[in-house]
Amino acid sequence: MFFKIASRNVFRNKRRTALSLFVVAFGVSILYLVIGFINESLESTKVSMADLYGSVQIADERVFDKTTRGYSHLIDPETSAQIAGLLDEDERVTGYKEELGFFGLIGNEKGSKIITGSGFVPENDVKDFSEAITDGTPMNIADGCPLNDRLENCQLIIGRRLAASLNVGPGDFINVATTSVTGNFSAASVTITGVFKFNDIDQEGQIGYVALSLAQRILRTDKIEKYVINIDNLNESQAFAQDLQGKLDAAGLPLVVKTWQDLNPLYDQVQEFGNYFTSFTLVGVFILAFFGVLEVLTMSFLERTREVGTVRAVGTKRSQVFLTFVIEGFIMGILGGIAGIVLGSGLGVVVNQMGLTWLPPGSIDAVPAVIQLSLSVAGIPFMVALISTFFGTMYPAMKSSRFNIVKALGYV
Amino acid sequence: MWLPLALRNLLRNQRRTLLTLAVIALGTMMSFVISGMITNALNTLQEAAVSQYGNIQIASTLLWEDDNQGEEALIDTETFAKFEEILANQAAVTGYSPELVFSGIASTDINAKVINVMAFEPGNDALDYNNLLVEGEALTDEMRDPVLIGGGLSRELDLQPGDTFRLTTSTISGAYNQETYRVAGIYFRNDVQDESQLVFVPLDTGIKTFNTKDAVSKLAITLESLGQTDATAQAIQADLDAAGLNFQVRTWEQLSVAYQQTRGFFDMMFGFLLVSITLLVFFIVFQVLSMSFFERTREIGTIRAIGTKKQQVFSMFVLESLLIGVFGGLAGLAVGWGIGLGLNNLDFSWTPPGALQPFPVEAVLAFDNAWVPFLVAILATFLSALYPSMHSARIKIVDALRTN
Repeated sequence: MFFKIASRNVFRNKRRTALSLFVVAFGVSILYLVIGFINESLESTKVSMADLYGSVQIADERVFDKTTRGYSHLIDPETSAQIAGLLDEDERVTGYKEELGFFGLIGNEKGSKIITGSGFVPENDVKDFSEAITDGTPMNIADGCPLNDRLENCQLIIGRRLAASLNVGPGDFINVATTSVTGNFSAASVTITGVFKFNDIDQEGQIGYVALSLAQRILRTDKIEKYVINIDNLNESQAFAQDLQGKLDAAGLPLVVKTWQDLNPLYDQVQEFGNYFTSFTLVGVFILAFFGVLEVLTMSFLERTREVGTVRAVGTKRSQVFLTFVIEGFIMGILGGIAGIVLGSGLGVVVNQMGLTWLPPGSIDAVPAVIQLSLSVAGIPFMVALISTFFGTMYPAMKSSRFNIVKALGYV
Repeated sequence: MWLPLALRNLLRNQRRTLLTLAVIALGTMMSFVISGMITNALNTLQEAAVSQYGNIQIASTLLWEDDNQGEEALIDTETFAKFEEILANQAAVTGYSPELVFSGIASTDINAKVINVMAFEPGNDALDYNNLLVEGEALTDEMRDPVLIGGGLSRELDLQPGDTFRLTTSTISGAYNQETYRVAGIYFRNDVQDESQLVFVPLDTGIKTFNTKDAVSKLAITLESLGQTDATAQAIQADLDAAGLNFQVRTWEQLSVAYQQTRGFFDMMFGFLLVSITLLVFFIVFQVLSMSFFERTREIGTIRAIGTKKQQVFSMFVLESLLIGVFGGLAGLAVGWGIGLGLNNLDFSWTPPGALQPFPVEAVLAFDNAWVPFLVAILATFLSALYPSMHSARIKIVDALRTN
């Protein structure tokens, strides 16, 4: 019964209700957009980090700490086979690759530069940078660096900026010189097959990839440095890492598993910033909606002083009057919340369609500013609408329900 | 006469006025605090960028665009003399310092690592990187092949002041060269990448290692004040072009990608919040004023009946709303100031991407940030008063007098 009266009261002064609803709805939609944007940024950061680092990596602890001494941290073929065995029997693993990093000088008779290189099996099912190639072709498995073949036929892909500063391109021969694991000078002349882009301007001027077998040949080793592993559900990387760590420990392998999140602090930083930003917006929207509702309902309830006197005179209890008012506020909160989500979704679609771009810290290519539109994003803004409206209703409802009946009836 | 009337009207329904003021004040306060926080973050980044790059730098287009460190991208002594002439004509220039950059492989008996070398003149009057020193000795020209390394590199290669390492590089002519450097000291810069990859050496040592025959990569210039950056950069560029020198001037802002990105991001965020807050305030105030003016319909009839003109009624209402806007805005700034002070004492901190140490999250409380939120508050209130004022002023006198 009270519900009916309350809902009728909501629609008595339509323009006023519409305006209050709009205030609540607008606040909700802002919060919705902010949370949607931050969620999307987090999601895209997560994807790009996982693209760069894989879901998890296995290596000697010193590799992650950057405190390696010589090449004593490499993983020998026997251990490597053991790890591959562990990974093969795990259903969550969707792919893995072995990597061997090196650095040295790259150049020709015209000049040389420093190269930070890495070797992996081309066409692996984790990442081989074939999609990042801007000029030339990716490495392929058959010609990457066939055993016993001449080194000139081995393939190399290098960063765009590095290629520009060496003034070389696909098809050119180039020398790569490094120090082997035993400390001797080692060099190879190889063919550049492709040039790729890398979303970090400094790295792009330094980076190059070769087939694992070539990296092993110039370093004169049969070992590898680390495993990069992808799993089916990125969000379970932490659990998977713990699991895998347990298996490695059980097998007596002195290696460490790190997730993409451990390997780069960017995600945590974006999240930290997002939390500040969301909380600030939340508090602001909450207080504004609260005041907006408080103001309107105070006036609206005050206008009904005489009615309150009448219903109280016919025996309605204070608590019942109070309840009617609170229900009225509650209905407005729900309506405002829903309207806000609808409005926010509409605005979000518009923003997503507009194709705005922004430059996230640390990258060279602008990424589209996308707002995530989903129910999980909508939860918090909706609750904010409900709670702020509820609190905005409390004071005027309490006040109106406590009128002295005689005075209320005499109120003009 | 209208001012006292408008003021009195404000004091009539004090609770309502107070609520309206609270809404406006809250909006103003939020904009003020956010703008203060953003200004603070940008100032911090700006200081870091200027201490890293100077106000402006001059280098070959090849170096800027392709990272080309070859001979053709360098500044030889002859060109450098021309630069000095050009700079002598610029009153704003307080100092300049030639720098040479190249990369190489630092190796010890246990490990090796790719590093970037920055060679500068110790004790120069523009950018003296000796200021970054936290441990050991500063570089001087008298030392024999000294180097300053970052904390990250010190840890990774296990190097302490007094230790030595070999630097392998290919010289400008493509020859292979190796020098032994002695670690003089360890510097700190709040940048993960620099800490483990950038080392500083005296210019003479750099020139010898890279074998450039006194040629340098770039010239870092400091100015009297930050505000002169763009104008001076343009003037120098014009002089360079006039002298037929194929070199390009870049400002610290162009050089610091991190600053540009952060600024773009913050501007977008602040714009979004400011628009949102303004709209919210607009609608709430609109609603309250509509109601408040509507209640006075009968009074309007009375004063109109005794000869007050429509536009006078209108301006009285507008004046009333402006007063609310001004008071609300002022209250918002005052509250924002208080909240900002409280926030600054709370020691929130945030680690921006790429930094080693967190930056404090603080708000700059200054009139520079205050006027935008203040004006926006007044404007939002004014706009929201327009329609109800117009509406109230246009009511027919007879109808208005009859309204209950």
